[in-house]
Amino acid sequence: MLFTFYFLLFTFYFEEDVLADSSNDLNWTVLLPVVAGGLAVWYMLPSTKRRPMVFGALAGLIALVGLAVFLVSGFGDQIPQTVEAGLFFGFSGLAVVFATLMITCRNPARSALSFAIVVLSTCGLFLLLAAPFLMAATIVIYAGAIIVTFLFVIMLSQHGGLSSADLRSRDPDLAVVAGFVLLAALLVGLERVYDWRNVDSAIAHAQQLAEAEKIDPEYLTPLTDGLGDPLPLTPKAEAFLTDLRAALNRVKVASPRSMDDSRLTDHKLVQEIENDMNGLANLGFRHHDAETIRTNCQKIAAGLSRLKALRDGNASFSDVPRSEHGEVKPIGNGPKQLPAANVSAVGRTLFSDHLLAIELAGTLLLVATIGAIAIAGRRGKSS
Amino acid sequence: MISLPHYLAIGAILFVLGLIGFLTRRNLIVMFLSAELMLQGVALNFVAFSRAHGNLHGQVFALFIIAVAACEAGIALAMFLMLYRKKRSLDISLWQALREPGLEETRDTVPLPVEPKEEPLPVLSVSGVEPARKERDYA
Amino acid sequence: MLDPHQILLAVPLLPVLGALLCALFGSVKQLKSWSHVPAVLCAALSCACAFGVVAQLQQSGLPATFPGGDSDRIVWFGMDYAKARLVVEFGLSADHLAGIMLIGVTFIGFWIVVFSIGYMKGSPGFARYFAVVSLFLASMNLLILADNMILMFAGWEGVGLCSYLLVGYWHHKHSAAAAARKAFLVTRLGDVGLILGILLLWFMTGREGFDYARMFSNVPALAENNPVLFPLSCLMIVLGAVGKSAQFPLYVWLPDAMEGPTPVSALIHAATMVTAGVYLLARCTPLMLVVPGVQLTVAIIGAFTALLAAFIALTQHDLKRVLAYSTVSQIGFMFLAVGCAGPALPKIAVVAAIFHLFTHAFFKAVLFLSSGSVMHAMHDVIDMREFSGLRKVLPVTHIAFLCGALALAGIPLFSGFWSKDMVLEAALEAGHSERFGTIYMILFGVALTTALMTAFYTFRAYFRTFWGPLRMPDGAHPHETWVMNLPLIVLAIGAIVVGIAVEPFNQLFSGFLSKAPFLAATPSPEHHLNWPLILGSSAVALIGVGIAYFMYVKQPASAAKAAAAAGSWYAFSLNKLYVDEIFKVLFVQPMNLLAGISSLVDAVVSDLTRLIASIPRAMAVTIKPIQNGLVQFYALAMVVGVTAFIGYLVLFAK
Repeated sequence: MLFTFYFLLFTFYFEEDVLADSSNDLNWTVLLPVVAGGLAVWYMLPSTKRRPMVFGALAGLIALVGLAVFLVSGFGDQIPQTVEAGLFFGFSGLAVVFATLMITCRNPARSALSFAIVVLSTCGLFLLLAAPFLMAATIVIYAGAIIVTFLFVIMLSQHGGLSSADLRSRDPDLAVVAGFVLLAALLVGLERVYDWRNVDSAIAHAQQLAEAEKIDPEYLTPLTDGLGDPLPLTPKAEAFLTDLRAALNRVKVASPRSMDDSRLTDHKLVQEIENDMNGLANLGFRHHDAETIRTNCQKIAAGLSRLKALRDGNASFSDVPRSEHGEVKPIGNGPKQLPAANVSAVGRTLFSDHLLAIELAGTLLLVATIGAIAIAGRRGKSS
Repeated sequence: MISLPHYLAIGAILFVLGLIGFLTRRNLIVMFLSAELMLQGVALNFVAFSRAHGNLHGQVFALFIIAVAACEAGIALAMFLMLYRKKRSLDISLWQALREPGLEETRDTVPLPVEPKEEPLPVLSVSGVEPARKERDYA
Repeated sequence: MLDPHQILLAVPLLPVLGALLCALFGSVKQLKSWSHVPAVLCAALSCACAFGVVAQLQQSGLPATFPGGDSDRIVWFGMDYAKARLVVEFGLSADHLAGIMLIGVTFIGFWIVVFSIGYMKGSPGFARYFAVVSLFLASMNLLILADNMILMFAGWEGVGLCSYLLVGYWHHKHSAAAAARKAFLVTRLGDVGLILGILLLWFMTGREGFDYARMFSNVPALAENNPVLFPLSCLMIVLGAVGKSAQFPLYVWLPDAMEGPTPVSALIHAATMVTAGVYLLARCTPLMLVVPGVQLTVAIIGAFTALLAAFIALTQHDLKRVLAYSTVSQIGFMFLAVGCAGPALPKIAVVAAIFHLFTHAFFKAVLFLSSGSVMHAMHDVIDMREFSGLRKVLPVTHIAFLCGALALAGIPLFSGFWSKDMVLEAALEAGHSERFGTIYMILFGVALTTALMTAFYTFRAYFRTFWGPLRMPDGAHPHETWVMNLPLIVLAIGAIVVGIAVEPFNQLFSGFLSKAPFLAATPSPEHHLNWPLILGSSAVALIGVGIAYFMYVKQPASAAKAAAAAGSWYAFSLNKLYVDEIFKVLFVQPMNLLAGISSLVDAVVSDLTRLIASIPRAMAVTIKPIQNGLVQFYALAMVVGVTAFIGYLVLFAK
């Protein structure tokens, strides 16, 4: 346990490297909601010390604001002032707030009710995602059946009020740390996959350099007599190349190498871009070859765009085998059209593509019912 | 616009909050509610991907999640009732019998803060003559 | 008529059966007090069979054998390959020497077993005693009857084992356990020599077999071809005999072996086991005759031991110790006699030794049994300073002891006189030989002096115990039961008449023994009574008795005055010449040191092993607290693992 704790501490020690290497990965847009949220949750979890609510609420508020900032600016898109955005932020904010309340409330009945509101919020999000049947089903089953059953059980077993179990937490420190580190990793992962701003800016920069009439002398290394070690690049050239490399890291995909190397695979493309960048550095900037600069920048821009398109899903892999079950359309270009007659469409998909699964789910439900009756059915014979 | 990663972020947050609740709270009911919260986060993920891909497989899987969650809830609550019968409490820390033999039980060492005892309400003496009352009026 | 071969086999086999039955009886609760019955019956039957064997020998003159006649040899164990061949057979053969020994062993053994019924009554381990005594009788018979040396060695070891078990009979007593260990280990030293000698002989005779016939065939050529190895092997065999028969320097175990029950002392340490060495040397006479140097060594050892033991016996207070040293001394006589074969005619020397062995068995057994009776009556007190004048209360014991004492002292007409006389005669004749004659003469003088001392200390013991005012220690209740009296009477009669009945007036004994195959070829002596010697040894014995009478009956105070006057001689004798202490410093303490160092090294090794073995346990103890039974802790561990993994992948991996 201690070992993993120290390991997690190490992750924070290495932040400098991480920050220096891949630009704006684990920066304050991620850290603020994560840290503030972690503090809030930790503060509000039940413990033996008396903690006034106000500080927890304050930290929670900061976390929420940070989250909103992350969602707004973290992925590079402009959030339009639409109803969809408002509904999204409303529902998700409600969900997050009441989820926090659920896990930190001492009274289990209040927890159950908070959970009900979380379910309602999540169902609102489902509705935004064009899943009305799921919304209704979730509300009916969760908020209707499951939570009511929970309340019954609480009623049967805790009619005396709060027990000592409700007033304590098991290892809140390590649990909060582990959970929020996981959250940080997930959010950083999301950011890496979906945040193209620096890639876009690198591509634009390369394109601009490719189309320039005259190369900006600030990129070019001063000439020497040609003896000795290679001279260092100018700061601007250095920064440009660093941006390009970061962008390449962002977009390269570990795709399987195909048997036939003559086709243009990802790997080859990445290799070519790297060669181009090296050529840019050596021939272009160091030896003042303007033609090399222009050609390489053009090729780099084109290559990066193609890789980004592959990642986006706007281009298709020419050699990735498709599955036979249903179509897997590339994700990019915004949300797709889903059938309005959602219920019948879900039904059709369910009973044609997932027939075995639904039969098994039915069997599972039957077995669970019998099991529940068998387990809890004995009265008065238990010792 | 609101696209896939936003929903995924919310799904991740719900999942992590549920995870922390599961690991921290000692009441069986709240633990289980946290597990359900985790499932909600996952279901949100699935539905978001379904929207992003343009097919309904994600929604179908979210339906399965609901089915399994229902089964799980049934059995779990039956077991909670049984456990409650054994120890008259819903504290999960009471069930430590599967620890290493020879290891001591983990007990709560820090005492809870003592609630200040409320002053009982003052009892006033009876004023005047007491009216005649029959026993069964006190039912 | 029963097959003589079967009778021969029955002699050692019946006591084995008796031992098994005794052990069986001992393990069944109801039969425990009847455990003596199988032992007595089998001893009696074995004795009857022994008499049968001797009768058949007397009749036919040929040795009885098992398996007899044309039957196949029975192989006990062995390997028989091209290059290596070692085969040991099981075969019994009774010639005249063996016959005499058998009669002595089985007859006296039987009466001692009868005596033990009364002596050992009520002691725990009753069945164990009789089982081991029966086993002893079986081993002794096997030793006597074996027709090859390895089988004889098996019997040799068997009697050593039974001696250990019986001396340590009261094993919870520390001194008894130590004495048993001492007996076993000291005789072990001799056994090493014996087995080496046997193997050397086997090697020299071409590695064909171990039987006596082969070993003793063509001895002169053997001695010529192996000028170094042959005497060496004979010396090794002598070493074995020295160990078992308690001669110098391996005699130290016999006085300590008195810790065992008195019938055990009578049987093993007087009559039978200690005589095994003499029997062996007698058996190996054909070998010894061609190495006069070894013979001289045997004679010197014998005489020296006789003198030494007699000297120590002069001052001992413990009655059984006196008798033990007396045994050592008398066996020294037998060794002296055997050592004279060569210079003297073997028919005289060997017959003298065996005759003395035979009579010694009777009178020493009766002496030990009566002392056992005294000890039983005096409630386990055997220190002569604690009691006196017992002839009034223990009449049968008194008469039996007197008979034995008269025989031991060598008073004329009693059995010991004739046998001791034969020994002296053999020594005298050896003294007349050309080679080593002077030395043998000196040894004769030593033997005569020892006879004087023997008479003195024997009657010292007798007078101190049975004469004087009646004094008994507390808790003594003198009584005599018939089961203990009967053997005393029988053996006392034997002590008196056995000598005169067979020698020297009718040559029954020497005639019978001289027909033994290994002696038959040697020249026969002319029989005459050496009157000067007879008169001389009688005078010596009577002088010894007279001095004892004077010092202990007439003027009891003179004993103390003489002891004070003797000063350091007295101290030397009382403290057994400090031989035990010398041995302790020379041998025992270095061995203890070595054993201590070994056990230290052992402890280090075992501690090291334990240390290494404790490492996994220590590691486990460190990790154990992870399993604390809390579900949430386990889930937390999983989450931390997953987080670490995903965190590394997302945040660090390129």
